[in-house]
Amino acid sequence: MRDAEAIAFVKLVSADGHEFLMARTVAIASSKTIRLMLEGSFREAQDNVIRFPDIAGYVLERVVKYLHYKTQHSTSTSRIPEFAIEPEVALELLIAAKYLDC
Amino acid sequence: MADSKKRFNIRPFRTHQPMDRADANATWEILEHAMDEIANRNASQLSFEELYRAAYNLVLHKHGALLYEGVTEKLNAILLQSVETLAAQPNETLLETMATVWNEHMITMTMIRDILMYMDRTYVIQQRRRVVYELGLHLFRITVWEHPAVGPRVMELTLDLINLQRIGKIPDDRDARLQNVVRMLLELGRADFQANVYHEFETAFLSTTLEFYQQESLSFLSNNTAIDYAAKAASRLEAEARRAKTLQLPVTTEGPLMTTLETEWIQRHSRVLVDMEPSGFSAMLQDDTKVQSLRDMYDLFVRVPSSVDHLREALAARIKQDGAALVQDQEKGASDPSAFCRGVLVMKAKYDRIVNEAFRDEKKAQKRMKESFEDFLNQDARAASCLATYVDELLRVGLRGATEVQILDSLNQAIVIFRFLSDKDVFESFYKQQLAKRLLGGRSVSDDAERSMVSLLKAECGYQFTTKLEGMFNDMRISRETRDKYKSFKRQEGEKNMVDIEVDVLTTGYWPSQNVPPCTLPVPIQESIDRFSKFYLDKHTGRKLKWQTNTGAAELKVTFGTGPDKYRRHELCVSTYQMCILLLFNDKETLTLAQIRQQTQIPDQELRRHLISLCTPKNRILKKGSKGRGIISDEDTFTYNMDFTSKLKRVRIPLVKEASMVRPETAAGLIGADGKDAHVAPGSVPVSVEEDRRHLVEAAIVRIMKARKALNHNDLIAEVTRQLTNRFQPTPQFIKKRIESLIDREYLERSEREHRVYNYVA
Repeated sequence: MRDAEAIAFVKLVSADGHEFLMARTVAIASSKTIRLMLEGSFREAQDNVIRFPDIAGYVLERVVKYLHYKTQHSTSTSRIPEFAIEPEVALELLIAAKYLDC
Repeated sequence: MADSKKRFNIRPFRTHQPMDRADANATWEILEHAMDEIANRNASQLSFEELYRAAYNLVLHKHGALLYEGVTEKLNAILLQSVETLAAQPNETLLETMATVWNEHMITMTMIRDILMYMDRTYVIQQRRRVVYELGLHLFRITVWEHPAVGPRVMELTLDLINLQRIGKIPDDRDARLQNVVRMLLELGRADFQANVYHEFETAFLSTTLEFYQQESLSFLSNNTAIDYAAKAASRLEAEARRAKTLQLPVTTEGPLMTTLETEWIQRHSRVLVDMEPSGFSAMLQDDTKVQSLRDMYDLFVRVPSSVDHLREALAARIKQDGAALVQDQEKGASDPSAFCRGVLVMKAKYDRIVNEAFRDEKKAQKRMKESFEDFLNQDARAASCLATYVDELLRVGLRGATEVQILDSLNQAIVIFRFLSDKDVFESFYKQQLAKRLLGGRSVSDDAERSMVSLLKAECGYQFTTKLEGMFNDMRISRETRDKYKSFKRQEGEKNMVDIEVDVLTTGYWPSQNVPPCTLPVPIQESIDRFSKFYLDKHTGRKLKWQTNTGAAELKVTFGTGPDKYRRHELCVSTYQMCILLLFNDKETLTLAQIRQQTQIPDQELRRHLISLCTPKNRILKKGSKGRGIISDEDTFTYNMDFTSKLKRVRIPLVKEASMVRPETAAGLIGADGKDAHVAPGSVPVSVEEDRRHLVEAAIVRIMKARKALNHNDLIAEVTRQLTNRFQPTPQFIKKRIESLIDREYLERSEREHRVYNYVA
C-alpha cells in the first residue's frame, strides 16, 4: 500500500543516483513521456519511481525546474519571465527535453 | 561577461556509443520480447522507461526501419495467433470472441503506441509511414477481418442480429455484440480510407434495411387502416433512430438510414395514405372525431416535406368539395343565403380546428385553406350577396338580446367570410341597400351593432370603403334633429288638422339611389309635405328635396264591417304606395288596375306587387276580381273587403316577395330598394356594381397615368389591379376596355413610337 504522499509525489532518479521528488500532477501535466509512464500499466506506474539512466543529475535538476516553470506559466496571460539556461548544459537539456517530450 | 577569460565552454556532448547492427538487433530483441509480454498482459513487469529508451535509441541511431519492420512483423505474428482461434469459433460465439479479440488488440496497441511514441514523432513523420496505432488497425483489417472465416461471417451475423431485432425475435435493446462490431468497423474504417470496411458494412446495412422495410411497409399497408399504418411507421422510425443511437452510428449513416425509412414508410405510400378509403387522410377529414389521427399523420408526413403537399392537397380538395356542396344547396334553394353563410362559418370553424390541431398551424396549410375558401366563394358573386343578407339578418333579428361580446363575435365571423371575398364592392352594394332599409325602417337591433359592423369593414378595407355608409348614419342623425325641430315648429304654428309626417332627409349619393318618379300622393299628405318642404328649405337654402315615395310607411285607421254594431276598427301598417292605393277606396268600392295606376302614377310592376300584398289570404283588405295569384290584365278589378277580420288591432301588411310575381324581361338588372335582388341571376355581378366598377377602373387609370405620364400596357394593368384589389378583382380585359374608352374620350393616347405604351393627355 502506498501512502498518500507517495501518490501525490513521484520520484525521478538520475543516471548518477540523484533523486528528485516532484508533484505527480506537475510531472504529468508538463511531460508527455512522463505522463505515459505514470498512467500506463508498466512498472513505473506501480512504483511511482522513474529511473533515467541516460540523464545526469545536473541535467535532471534543470528538467525538474523547467517542468515546474512550464506548469506555472503555460496558461499565464501575463509576461512570462525568462528561464535561465546555462550555456554549458544547453545541449544536454535539449536532448533531455526531446526525450521527455516537454 | 565581456571578459574574454570567462568565456564559457560547452561541455563536450557525451556521445553514446554508436550503435551497430548487432547492438540494434539486441535492443530490438528487448522490445520484441516486451511486445509479447504486453500482448500477454504482463506489462507491469516491464519498465516503460527502458522500452521507451530502447525505441528512442534505435530511432536515434538510424535503425528506425529495423524497428518499424520488426514491429510490423511482430504485430502480424500476434494477430495471426488470435485469428486462428477466431476463425475456429462457431457462429454462436463468434461475435463475442470477435469483441474480445478486438478489445485485446486495442489495449495492446495503446501500450505499444505509448512506448513507441518517439518513433511516431520522428521516424514515422520523416518516412511518411503509418503511425503505430494505425499500423495496428491496418494489420488487424488485413490479417483478422479479411480472413475468409471471420469478416464475412461477422458481417452476416451482425446483419442477421439486427434483422432478428427488427422482427422482434430478440429484444430490441442495446446489444454489446452489435455495439462492438460497429465500433470496431468504424475504427478500422478510419485507419484505411482506401478500403473502408465500415463502408462495406454501411452499404450492406442500408440495403438490408431498404429491403426489409420495402416489404414490411407494403404488406402492412394492404392489411391495415391508414392510421394504424401511421402509428406503425412512427414506431418504426423511432426504433431505428434509437438503434442508430445505441449502436452509435455516425450521422453519415444515421441520415441515410432515416431517409430510407422515410422514403419507404412515408413518401412511397403518401398518395395512397391520403386517398385510401375509408381510412385515408382525405376520408378522415370528414370525421370531426379524427383530428387526433389527422395530427398523427401530419406529424409523420412532416418528416418528408414533399409528402405534406399531399395532405394540403387533400385539405384543399375537401374544402372545395364541401364548399361546392354549400353552393349547390344554395343554388337549388335548399338553403337561404343566411344558411349558406352559417354553413361557411361552420366549415371555417371545422377546418380552422383541423389546420390548427392537425396541421399544427403551419403557414402553408393556413394559406392553402384560405385559397380554397376563396376559390369556392369567389366562383361567382353569390357569396357577396349571401353574406350581405346574412349580416342583414344578424342586424335585424339575429343579434336581438345578444350581449356586446356576442355581437362583436358574430360580426367578426362575418368579417372572416368577407375577407375571402374578392367582390367586396358587390357586398358593399348589397349591404348598403340593406342598411338603408334597416335605417329607414328602424329595424336595426342596435345602433351600436351597426356601428361596430361599419368600423370592422373600415378596418378591413379602409376609410374609403365606408365613407358612404358613415354618411348614411350621419343623415339619420341629422334627420332626427330636423324632425324634432319640425315638431316644435309645428307646435308654435299650432296647426292641428294636418297629417303627421316624419321625414328622413337623405344625401344623394350616400344612399342607394333610385330614380323613381314620385307617385301622386293623396291631397292631405301632399299638404303636409309641402309644409315640411317650406320649413326645411327656409332653413337650408339652395337644397332640393326629392320625395322617395317608393320607401316609407304609413299607418291607416280603417273601419270594416257594416252597420253600427259591427264596425271594426283596425290600424293598418302599410307602405306609402299601399296607402295611396287604399285611400282611393275612400271614394269608390271597386277600381280596375288601370284606374288605380292612372290615379296613383305608381310604376306598374311596383303597383302589382303592392296590390297583391293587399289581396293575400291572410290580409285580404281588397278582393281581387280575377282568380289566381297574379294580376292578368288592366281590367282586373279590386274591391274593398268590408268583411276583413283580424284578431289584432294593429295589422301589419307585409309585402310579398317580388320574385313570386316578377316577369323576368322587365326586371333584369334592377336592384330594388329593399335589396330583393332576386331578378339578377344569382352569382352574377349586379348591373349597378358593374357600372361602379367601370368608374372605379377609369378613375384608377387616370390617377395612375396622371402621375406617371407614360406607362406600358402591362404595367398599367398591374398597377390598376393592385389598387383595386381590395374592392374587387378586375380582369385584364375589363381594364383594357376601359383604357380604350378613355382613349376614345381623349384622356389617353397611344405612344407614337411604341404601340404598347400609353401617354396621359393633360
